[in-house]
Amino acid sequence: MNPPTDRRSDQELIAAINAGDLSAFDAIYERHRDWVARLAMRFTGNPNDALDVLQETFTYLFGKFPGFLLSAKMTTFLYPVVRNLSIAARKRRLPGLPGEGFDSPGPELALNDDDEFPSMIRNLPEIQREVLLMRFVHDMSIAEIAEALGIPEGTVKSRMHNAIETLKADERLRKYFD
Amino acid sequence: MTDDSENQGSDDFELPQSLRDKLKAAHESPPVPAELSAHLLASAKASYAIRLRRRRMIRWSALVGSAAAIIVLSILLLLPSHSSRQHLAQIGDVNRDGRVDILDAYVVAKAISTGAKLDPAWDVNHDGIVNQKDVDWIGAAAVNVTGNSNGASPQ
Repeated sequence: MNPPTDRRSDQELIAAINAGDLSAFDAIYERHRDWVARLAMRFTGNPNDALDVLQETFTYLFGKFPGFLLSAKMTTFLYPVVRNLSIAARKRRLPGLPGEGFDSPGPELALNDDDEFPSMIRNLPEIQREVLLMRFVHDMSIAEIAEALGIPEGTVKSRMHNAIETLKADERLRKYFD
Repeated sequence: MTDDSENQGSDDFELPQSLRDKLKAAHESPPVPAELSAHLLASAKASYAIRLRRRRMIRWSALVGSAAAIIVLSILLLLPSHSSRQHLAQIGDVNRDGRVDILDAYVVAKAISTGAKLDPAWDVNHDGIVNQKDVDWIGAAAVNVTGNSNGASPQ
């Protein structure tokens, strides 16, 4: 996978697409593809579903051109899109699942997981795990997390603080903090 | 990952790097097949091109429509209306032949001199009486001293 080479910002790329520059599609896609795929994988827990969500996410995004205006960070815009499409994907595959509160690793990931580390993360309350993963797995800032989740930054910080304290208190994770 | 990477690390919350690495490793991104990416982008570009063409067509149609509407409106505004022309033609057109000429002045002058019944509509200068001044007014309008053939204002 080649590293993204286009130095233009997301806003500049969006303006370029709106002006008819088709090459900017590739740059936007290359830049956010892995982020979307990783997030979709976390939400769906299934690589095939994750790839479906990836396609649907970019189809949704690209379908907004021409005339698309980005008022926040691209990741802030994409996060709820990926999340909602993942919910739909998992509902299609597992019709009995509830729509919300599914942010634990999907069944396939859980079955293949013989490392106890993910279970420690999984044992965190969902609202804490969510902000922790958004920050340290998906590299989102506190402000971006707050905007994507629609909650105040103070709430994000509080949840983050509690999540980290819980991890610190876990004997099995002591080695990471020493 | 993006242009906003400069924002990362500005938050106070930190995890040891080894724990971060472990977290990331536990949430690997699935490999995205190159064919999938190529198909997705090709299809997105094709759809975009269609939408762009359609949008440009709509924009041009709107532009052409607006221009046509402006032209039609301008023509309608610039042309004097039928009723307006009719009204102007009636001033001084005593014999109602559609124009103001010396015959109209003659009809009024003859009626005054013979003591015939005078039509109040012949009071073209609106002074309340039909007399020689009205004959003069119509005569002046007939010779078109101001270039107004309708005789609206012979002065």
